[in-house]
Amino acid sequence: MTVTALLVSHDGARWLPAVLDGLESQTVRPDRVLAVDTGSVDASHDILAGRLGLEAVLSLPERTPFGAAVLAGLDALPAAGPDDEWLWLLHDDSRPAPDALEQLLAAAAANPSADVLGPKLREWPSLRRLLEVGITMSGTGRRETGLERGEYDQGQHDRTRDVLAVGSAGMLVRRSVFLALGGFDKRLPMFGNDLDFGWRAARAGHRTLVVPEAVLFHVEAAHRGVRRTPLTTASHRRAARSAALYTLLANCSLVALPVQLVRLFLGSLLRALGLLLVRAPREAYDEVLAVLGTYARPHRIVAARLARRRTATVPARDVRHLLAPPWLPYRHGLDMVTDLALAVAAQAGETTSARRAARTEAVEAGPVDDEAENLPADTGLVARLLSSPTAGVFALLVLLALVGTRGLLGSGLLSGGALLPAPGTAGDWWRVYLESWHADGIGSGVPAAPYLLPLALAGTLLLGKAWLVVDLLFLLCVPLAAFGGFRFLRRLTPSRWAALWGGVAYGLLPVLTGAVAQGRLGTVAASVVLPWVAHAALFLGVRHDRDRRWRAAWRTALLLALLSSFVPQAWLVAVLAVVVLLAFAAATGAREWTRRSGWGPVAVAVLAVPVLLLPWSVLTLAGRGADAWLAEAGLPATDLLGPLGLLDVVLGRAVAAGSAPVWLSAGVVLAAVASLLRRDTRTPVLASWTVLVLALVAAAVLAPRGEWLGFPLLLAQAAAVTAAAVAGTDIAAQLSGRSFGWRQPVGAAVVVVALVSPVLGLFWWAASGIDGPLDRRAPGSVPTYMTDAATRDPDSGVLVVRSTEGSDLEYLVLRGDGQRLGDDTVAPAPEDQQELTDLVESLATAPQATDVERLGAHGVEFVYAAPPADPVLVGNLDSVSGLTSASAVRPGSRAWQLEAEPSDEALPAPEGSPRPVLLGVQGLALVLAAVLAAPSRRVRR
Amino acid sequence: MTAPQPSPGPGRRAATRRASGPKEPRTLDRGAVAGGVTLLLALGAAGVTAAVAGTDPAASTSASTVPVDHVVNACLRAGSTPGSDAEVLSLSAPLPDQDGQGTVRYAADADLEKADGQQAARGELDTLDAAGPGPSAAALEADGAIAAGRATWQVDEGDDGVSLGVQECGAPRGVWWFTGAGAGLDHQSELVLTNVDPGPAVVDVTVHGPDGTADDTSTRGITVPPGETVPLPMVEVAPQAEEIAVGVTASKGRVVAAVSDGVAAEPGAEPATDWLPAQSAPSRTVRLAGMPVRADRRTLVVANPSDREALVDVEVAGEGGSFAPTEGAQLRVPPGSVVSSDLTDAVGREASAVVLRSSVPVTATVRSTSGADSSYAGAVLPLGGPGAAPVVPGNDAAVVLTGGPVAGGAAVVAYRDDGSEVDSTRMQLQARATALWDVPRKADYVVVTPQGAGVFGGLVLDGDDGLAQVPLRPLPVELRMPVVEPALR
Repeated sequence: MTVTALLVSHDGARWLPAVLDGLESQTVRPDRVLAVDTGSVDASHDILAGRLGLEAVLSLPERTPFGAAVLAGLDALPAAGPDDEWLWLLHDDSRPAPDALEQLLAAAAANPSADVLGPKLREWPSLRRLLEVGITMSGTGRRETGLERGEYDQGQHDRTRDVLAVGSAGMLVRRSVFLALGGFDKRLPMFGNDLDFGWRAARAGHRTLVVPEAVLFHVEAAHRGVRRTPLTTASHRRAARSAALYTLLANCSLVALPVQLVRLFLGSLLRALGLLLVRAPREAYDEVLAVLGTYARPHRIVAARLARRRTATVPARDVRHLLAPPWLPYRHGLDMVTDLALAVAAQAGETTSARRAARTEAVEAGPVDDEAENLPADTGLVARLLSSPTAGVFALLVLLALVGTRGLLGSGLLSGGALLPAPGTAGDWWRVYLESWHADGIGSGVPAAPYLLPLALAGTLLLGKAWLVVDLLFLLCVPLAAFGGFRFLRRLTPSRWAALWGGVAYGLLPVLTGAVAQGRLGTVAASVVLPWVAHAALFLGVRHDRDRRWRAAWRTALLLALLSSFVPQAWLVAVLAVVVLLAFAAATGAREWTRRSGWGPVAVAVLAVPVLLLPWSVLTLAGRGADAWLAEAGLPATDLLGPLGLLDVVLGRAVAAGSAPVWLSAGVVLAAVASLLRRDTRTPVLASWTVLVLALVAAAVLAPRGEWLGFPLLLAQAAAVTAAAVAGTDIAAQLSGRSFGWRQPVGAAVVVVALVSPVLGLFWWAASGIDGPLDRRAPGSVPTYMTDAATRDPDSGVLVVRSTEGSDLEYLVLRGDGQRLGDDTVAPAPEDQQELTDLVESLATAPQATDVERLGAHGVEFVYAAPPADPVLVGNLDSVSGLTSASAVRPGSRAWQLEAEPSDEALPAPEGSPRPVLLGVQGLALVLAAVLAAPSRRVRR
Repeated sequence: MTAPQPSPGPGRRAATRRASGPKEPRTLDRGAVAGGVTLLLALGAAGVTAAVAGTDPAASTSASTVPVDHVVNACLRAGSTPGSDAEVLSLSAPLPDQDGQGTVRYAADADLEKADGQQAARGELDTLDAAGPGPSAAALEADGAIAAGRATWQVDEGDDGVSLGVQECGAPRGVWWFTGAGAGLDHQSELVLTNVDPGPAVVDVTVHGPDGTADDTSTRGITVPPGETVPLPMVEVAPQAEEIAVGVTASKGRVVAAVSDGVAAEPGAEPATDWLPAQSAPSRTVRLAGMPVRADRRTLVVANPSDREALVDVEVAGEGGSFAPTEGAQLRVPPGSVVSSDLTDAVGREASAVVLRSSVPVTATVRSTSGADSSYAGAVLPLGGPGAAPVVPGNDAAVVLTGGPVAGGAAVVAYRDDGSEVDSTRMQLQARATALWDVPRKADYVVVTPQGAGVFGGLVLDGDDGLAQVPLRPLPVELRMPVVEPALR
């Protein structure tokens, strides 16, 4: 029996001396040693020649694959004799333990039927972690070792057993078997050739054993990308994946091939998607290229399969027990999700403890890690609630919110003012958002407003309860907004108390502006989202590193899109702010901003928003035009608007009547003005004031258009709160340090007034409650039998006519149980309803029988005059033929039914719309932005 | 804005943030200036916002008007009046910029479906046969351009115990009010309702007397089938009430209503009949159009249909101006009831009108009695456009107009029944004063066009057969189209 050791080397000078030491220290020395060097450019050749002698080194060209190198070595080394000859394959990065060969040979002797034997591989240089104890392949092409990652070798796998394959490093194989099988597949130059060889050997009836007593230390240089050779091509990941796909397709049974082809293709796409989601786009790219590359060359697979058929002697099912069980990939998937969740949890835990640690050593430790600050406050226990003033304040806010909104609790749905009642389920929101043609009214192709998507998502998370989303927003907007404001201000000021003051002052704004009382969904939602947009935007600053800025850019874009979906004006203000910022940077020659790396993230944060709001942002241009960007979520409800005084605007009252007394905000505004006087905080204060000015400019632009000014005034007040809170940092120490002049008493007075303001606001709110058109009531005023008929048959619509001022009328065609939140956004444009408008006008003045017929052709079966019904209209409809009186229960209301069968003849036909495509683009954009906004992940192996 | 150097204590946080020393003052100045500029900009933007906020661009969409192209009038005959000598007068008043032909259909039996259309010319006063013995109704329908300025009256000429009376033949509507009716021994009225629409009408009749609302379920839900006329004698509803007011409200459909009123000048005397002028709805301000100069007695009747007490200030607009009567300058009208007040001394024998201002909406009339006959001053609105009234041959006719809050005037033109002009004048009206113009006897009708705001009045007919008053109401010329908008909720 002869043992020939074959060492293949390529640029392995780093490890070769140790490898050769290992070879020399073998307790059973191989009979012959041959080194094959494949064109190393480092000192490999010299080291080999020096230690083994020049005659024992075979030099081959650079691009020789491992398998070819081994075959070339065998050619150069004729068979030693007629008896058994064993080949022992070694890599230049694999060092055998002193008794490795001895143990392998012992196992070979003990198992005469074994033709291929492999050692246990341990990691080099750690020497203790297990790499492989025999390998197999899963159905997805994954190399399965059966080991945990980084598992320590404690002898737990030490059992000599049959395996599908062993790694080529340290493989002991009969020369005859090796040559009969044709050696390693030439198509697999670097990766996976050992698995393929093992599989082929098994099909040829040979036995592969792993011998854990034999140990080999392996760097796996090529696999980890440490070694770059021309053979590893562009990416070792892609090469490895291509090899896995090839191996699987070449060796699987013919019956399984079609299924395997489909499965591998779809699986690869799924893997790529998963990799994208964990923010590993490069890996995803490799995955896709690997599968495309493999599938683009079917002839290779065919050739490989033909070659394997020639050597195969055993049916494929006899080898199946050596392959990984079919459920294994799914367990891996589950493990990965669990790992990810654990990692996120662990990260949160780490940052929390980091924050705790930072808090205790704040003075010495300096600024807290950004990541730690970025996370929500760690959840506490009852003890923490009692001991922490912050938690106490927010608990109080929640309590006060329930007291302040007591008038809005009870049964029914929140509606009134600018708010329509929520639909039955979140599914209605999904339907309105996803469908291209809406059957409401006379039918419309108007794009649904973008805010229906977050509402639908939130509603789905709340188990489909759409009303709960609206309730939470309106009832808890104060504590929610206050919390966001607090988290934002904590990044700007080291003073917890200043941030807490600012948070509470900000949280009161949705109530003080009158947004809650008027049912202004847009402003209320904006008050909750705005602080998080500002928070994300803080990391766009040039002092942060590149990676963080780009992530912040995508996070800001996502949050700004969320804000703009409710209040599209917000995007316009953001664009204005970016223009001002960059103009200022250009004017002052701030180089870090004028470079592309400087303005890039900021521009992306703003420019990505229209893409994220996609079907709406494009389709609305053809519909309402730019006007759509000026309105906010909810009904316009212009009748609730009135003239505003200067004081109303300055103190953030978007409605003159019915909102809070103006003096409640005086403290905040006073403090904001005073904040300009403090020098050391002037930069952030001036930045806040710039936002304030931009917000008021937006208000001045919107005001003459008769728009609700809630958001711009909220933004202005938020900027004032920010300026005051930043300048309020350690204000007591500042003031007490001033022992002279008028500043001390005046400053102290401002501080006292400012401090008292939010507290008084809270008590005012708790005492007075919400007094406005917003109320909780049963939705719908139309008789139920009509809405039932309209729900059953879309042609049985209800024309609801309501008197407004004087003898003016407004009308609506219902095709269900009434208008719900979101339905208003897809109402057809008034121009498109002109025919119906003329018809109603005619009914209100001098109706003819033909008018009633035309009404029927518009899919109207009932006419309902809401109380107080206009007497002229009532008289007209009573006198015209074709209508019969129907029952209307509510006093002052009247109803009629058309005698003729209604039809949809006069209704416009649904039009084709690019909405589905745009929705797809929006979905992709959202996923992409979310992936890019997520924390960076470095893939380790 | 240069501030003195702050002097923070040692170890203060501020000290760690300060930039290097020498450059500091200049930087601070710049910061202060920037702060000041920002403050001014913010104030400016806030000022602009406050100045332009609340201007509602939607308010600019004003209502449009279209010419009236369809008019339906109905004239009623009461069952209590024999009515042999009644005729219907109909007219499309001559209007500037209005010429136009059109079809007029008239049915003495109110069945317009079967009536033949007649071409009518503008300016011609058509004399038509009234409906047969009551209760009955005649209907007239004008289509096309001729409908603009169309008005119809029914004249009961004095004969066989029937005194002169003029009924405005109204268009169907949902609400009618009549004040000055009675259900006593010497004062009896009859409400007549007709329905000229294709569908049935259902009306509620409320009757208010001196003792409050007469509660009678029989007046609720009265069905008036299409094409039919329903009489309702007041004695059946509110017996023994001398002064009553009647409200008609359609809960479904529309009707034309009229009240025939017979009142005896003296107890036991033969009652003289006339038609009560209709009021469209109770109102806080009630203008009772010009009254006859010749009258022995004048009685103001005020009804308060509301459920609160009405305080009514009475003002008489005479030839010299407006004044409050020395007695009965303010009336208290209990909820739901009717109060009458004697105005004989306050008005005297000159052209005058009465204006009431009430704390709650009321209805009212003034009954003027001369000899055996009575007539009623109708509640009118200020003339917003031309008004017309027929002159019944054989009677002295006078146009009595009252000025609005500022001095104004009115152009009055008298025409023959073929549309030729007989005479015209421009009446000068002082603020809140009443003036009179005697219409030439050759004239068959007059058209009054107001020049100035707030002018109101009527035509007074005075002859051997008694007194009659025709309130001047704006002719249906233009129709205000309501602003109709699609709603979002």
